[in-house]
Amino acid sequence: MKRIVILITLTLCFLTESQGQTAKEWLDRIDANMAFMTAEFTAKMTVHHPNGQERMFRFVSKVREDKFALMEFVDPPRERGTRYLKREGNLWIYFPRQDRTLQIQGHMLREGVQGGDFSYEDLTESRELEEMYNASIESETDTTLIIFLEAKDMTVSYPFQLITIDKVSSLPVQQLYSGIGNTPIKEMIVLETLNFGKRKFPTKMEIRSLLVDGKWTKLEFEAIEFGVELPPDIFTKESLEKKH
Amino acid sequence: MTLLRLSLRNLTRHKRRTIFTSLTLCIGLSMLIVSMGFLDGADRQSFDNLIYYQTAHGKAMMEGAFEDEFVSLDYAFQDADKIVENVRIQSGILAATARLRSNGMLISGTQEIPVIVEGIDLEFDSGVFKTLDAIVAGETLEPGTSGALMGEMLARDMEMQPGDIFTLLVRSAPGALNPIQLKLDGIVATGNPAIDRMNVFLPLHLAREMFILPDGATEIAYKVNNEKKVPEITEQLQDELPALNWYTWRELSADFIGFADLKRIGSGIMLSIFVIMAAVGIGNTMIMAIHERAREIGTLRALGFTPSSINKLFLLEGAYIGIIGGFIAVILGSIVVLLFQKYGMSLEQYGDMDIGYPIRDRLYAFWTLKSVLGAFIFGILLSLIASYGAARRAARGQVVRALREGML
Repeated sequence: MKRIVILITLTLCFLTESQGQTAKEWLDRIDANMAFMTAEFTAKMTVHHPNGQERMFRFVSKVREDKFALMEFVDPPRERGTRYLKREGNLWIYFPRQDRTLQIQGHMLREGVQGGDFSYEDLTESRELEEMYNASIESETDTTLIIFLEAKDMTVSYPFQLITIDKVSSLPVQQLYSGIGNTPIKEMIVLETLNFGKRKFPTKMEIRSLLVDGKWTKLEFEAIEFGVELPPDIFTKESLEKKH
Repeated sequence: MTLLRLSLRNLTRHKRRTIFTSLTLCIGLSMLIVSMGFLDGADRQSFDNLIYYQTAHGKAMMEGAFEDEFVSLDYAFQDADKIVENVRIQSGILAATARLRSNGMLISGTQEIPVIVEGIDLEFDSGVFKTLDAIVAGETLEPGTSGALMGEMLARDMEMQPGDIFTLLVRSAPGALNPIQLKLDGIVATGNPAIDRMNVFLPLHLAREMFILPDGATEIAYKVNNEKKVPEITEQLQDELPALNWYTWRELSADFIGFADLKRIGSGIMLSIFVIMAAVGIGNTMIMAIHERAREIGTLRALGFTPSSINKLFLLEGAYIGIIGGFIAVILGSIVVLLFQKYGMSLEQYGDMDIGYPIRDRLYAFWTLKSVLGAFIFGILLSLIASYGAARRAARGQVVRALREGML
């Protein structure tokens, strides 16, 4: 789950040079805000469909670095107890009603999580953006920096991305995802950031489809705690399938 | 000969009873014939639909593609044009074509719907499939252009007309998403709900460009010059071109064929119960007849008829009822089946409901000698079985008691 949160920030890890600051310096500043060893949070995801229908999901997630996450849905009641385990690039889902575990792989990775705009692939992608994209600075103002990413090959979902960074908070505020031909597909907008001690962290964001009018997914962090103690055996299939 | 004449005379002596008993059987058998006619028609129409629009006479795919329910590009292959050329020169092959098939999202305004995107070779596809003949609105695809065709139900669900622009979002073979705007050139109504509800057809060159698969395909479809030789030719293709897995249309439709067979068995059982009930009526009538004719049976026995002859006499009467009922049922049932074979039955009242067959709009019955003859013989056998108990009772009766008391 951390992947979603910091997806947009990791893009900066390989940036070349902007006026006055190098990519490395940007990365350090953003990492200071975003990177954590462990975290536990409760979040609400709202999937809005063009017909006006909205589905709300609430989940709690425990995360260690970028590689391990255990997420459990607590709302709505129909989804309660459904768990996702991310472990070094692999993803499993446990369905309590059927007492069944399914590994998400192959084509299924490209499906949207709970019908929303985040794909399973977004959750599991473990390659660093530096490996996948060439970056260039598109434009820069006093307060923002826009970076253009172009995929090195066509194996990535979005061959083009445009990231807007707030230079004051050192956080990405907008990210535009485009397909082949640089046609925009969706955009992510950070709606709110909060201070956690010395750390700034985006706590509310929206991902909006640019192809389907009126389709968006909103993610809001309701509670976040960094640096929590997590038992070493928590990111295992036993934990995933554990009955309450 | 005497027995034949006697049994016939007995039937004509009790005309009303004979007519009613035969009629009961006739109704049951007619229903059986009509139902079998519809099942035969549904099978025939379904198989035609599958062959013309889905499976062709056979297809070649990569191993695992047939089982891939996501219709992904994981099983696409290259050098498709060369393989198709090779297939065309094989003996028994009438035509062959490559298709490139994968999933995608069709987007128009606030609507998005998952679809199957199918690239078709405009030069060769019509030799194998009838898709391009099924255009009901707009125009066909032209080579080199960038238009699309869409299934009729899909176009209706998306409220689209020929000339409308829509977006197709697909994932290319390497993995990158590719949103592309297309113009809807025409609408196809194949009569196969799986196609009409899900499919978007593009020229093969455009699909290859979208999926970044130059010279790629997911299947090679072929048509043979003799349908009976499909298995033999498919085996021959498998030997000649082993890099792909070759399937006959029956193998590709195995799930549907299994389902259709089950449906046939189920319907057969239901209708047989109805016919058996009619046969019970025959048995009942025969029992009443032997009791009414106890003195007559006694007289025949006194004149030298053996119990076996009496047995045969009543069995023959039952058989005659079966023949009369069956004969009328064959005529009535055949008329109904032939009428529905010509005009069909509208399925409009079912709307988009899945009736389990790849058929929509009209269901046509199909008359087969096998089904009609089967029902006729089934009727006679059933009548014989139903008469057996009464005939046996008549044969075992005591002569003196029958003559004196009129009881067996």
